[in-house]
Amino acid sequence: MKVSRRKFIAGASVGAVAVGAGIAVPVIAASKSPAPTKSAGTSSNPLMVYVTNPSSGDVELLVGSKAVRFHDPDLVARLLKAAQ
Amino acid sequence: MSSHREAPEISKDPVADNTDVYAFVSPNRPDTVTFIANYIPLEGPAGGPNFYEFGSDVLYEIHIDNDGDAEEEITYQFRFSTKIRNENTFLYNVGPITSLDSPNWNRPQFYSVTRVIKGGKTTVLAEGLTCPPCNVGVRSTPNYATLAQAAVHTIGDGIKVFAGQRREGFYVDLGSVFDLAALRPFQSLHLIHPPNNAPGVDAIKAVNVHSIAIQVPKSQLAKEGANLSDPTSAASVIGVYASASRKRARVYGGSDEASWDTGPWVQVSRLGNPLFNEVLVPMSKKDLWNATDPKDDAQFAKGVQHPELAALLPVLYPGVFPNLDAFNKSGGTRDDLVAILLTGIPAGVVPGFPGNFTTTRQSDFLRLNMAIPPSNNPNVLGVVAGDIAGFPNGRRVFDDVTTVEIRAVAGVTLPLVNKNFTPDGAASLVTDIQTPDLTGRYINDFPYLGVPLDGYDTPSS
Repeated sequence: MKVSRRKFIAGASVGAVAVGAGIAVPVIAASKSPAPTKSAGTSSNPLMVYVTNPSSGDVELLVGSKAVRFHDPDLVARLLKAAQ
Repeated sequence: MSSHREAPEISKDPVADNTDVYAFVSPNRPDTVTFIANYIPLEGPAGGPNFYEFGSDVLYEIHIDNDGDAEEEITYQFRFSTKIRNENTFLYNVGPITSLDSPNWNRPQFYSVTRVIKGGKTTVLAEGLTCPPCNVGVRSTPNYATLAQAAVHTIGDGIKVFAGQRREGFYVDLGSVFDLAALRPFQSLHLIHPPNNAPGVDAIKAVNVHSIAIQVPKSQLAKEGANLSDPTSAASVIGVYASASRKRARVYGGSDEASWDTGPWVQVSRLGNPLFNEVLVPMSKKDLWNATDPKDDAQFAKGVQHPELAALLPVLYPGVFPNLDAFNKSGGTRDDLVAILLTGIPAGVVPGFPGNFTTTRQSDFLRLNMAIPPSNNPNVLGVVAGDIAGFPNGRRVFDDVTTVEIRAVAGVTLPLVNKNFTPDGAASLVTDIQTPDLTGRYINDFPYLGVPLDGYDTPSS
């Protein structure tokens, strides 16, 4: 199911954190239309970590034209602690 | 309107708002098809100092299904970038812009064209292509027609492209249609009938739009082995839609840093057949429709099978649509509209029309039978008027799609699939605008939409 911008922005207000370092995780979701240019997501580019479900530890990493989803309750716990 | 501001979310994002899509066999290059996708609705010609431009954060796409699977096999992508030549002025231009590389033009736009083949390779066809400036006025953009024509680029493989401001080609009596479906010429029969029975008004005759046009040889569009001289061949038919997408997230930088976008592209606007989302999809689902691909359109089929407007007409015009009223009450489905909008019209349904059927999978595509040559005597009412080179066999820039679709919804096309139905006399009399003034709206060569109105001579729209 696609996620609308509005839905994402609403979610981001409580669960998104921008970070400045790359995280090596498997790519499981990619753009419908691949970018022809070199991909973003090198360590010099900003990333966004979207905590899609704080209670379950589900995280989505937005990088370049990709979304990488993973499960990391420890990371989410640290982010939530930092957000307090 | 066709698809201008047609959904709540996209009405607040005009740069990504896909307003019209056209697809037709090029009248002066009949071995090619021209696709036009318009964005940014209702541009007032005097809209400075920050004149209209494409979004450098938007992915614009034209999609083509050439095998009837309701998914695109070919996509043309357009990405834009913007430069500021002089950071010390508030002006769009600091003198007359007489060429596309004029240093007087302070904010030029450039773009790339990329072709994506499903399951195949992605090819950047061209980069650094120049857009024309907006038509500011006689001092700033003299000889505008010539200036803009210089922005028609031939990029190899027989492909031409243009991206920039053009005159709005669509015409509609907007104020009437949305005032509780007042339909001229029998508005006096409306349930609510104020004394004003003035003739139709073209509400968008004095506005511009931003247009992406691409002209491609038919041979590059059809699936391999297609005989494009055979209009009865399914391989001659393509389905077309356009879209706009934004990155999934945007971070506003405030005063500390530049804003940035990240994540996958998310479709925020799309358009195949004119008026589909506008008229046939309930408001609560319009944003969803924009984010959905055509292959998943079955979820919206109910609005086509039982259109709300068809149910309203007998109510709003008591006694004018008795046959339509009876059909509605019978619970019958509008299989004519399903064919026109969601599957394509099978051969044998419209006399003299080989059809443009692509698939039983309900999907909103603008379907074009490429083997049908351009008409030497085009009729703005297209197929329903016997001109099979016009809408809904593709769509030409001048086709009166509003009248065609309102008549269809009113029942004119229902006998094509239901021989027992007789349209009401009023159904074929509906004319959105009796005599639209189309002067200057179109040109005879690519990109076919007319020169945009300039802001000096058209200070108010």
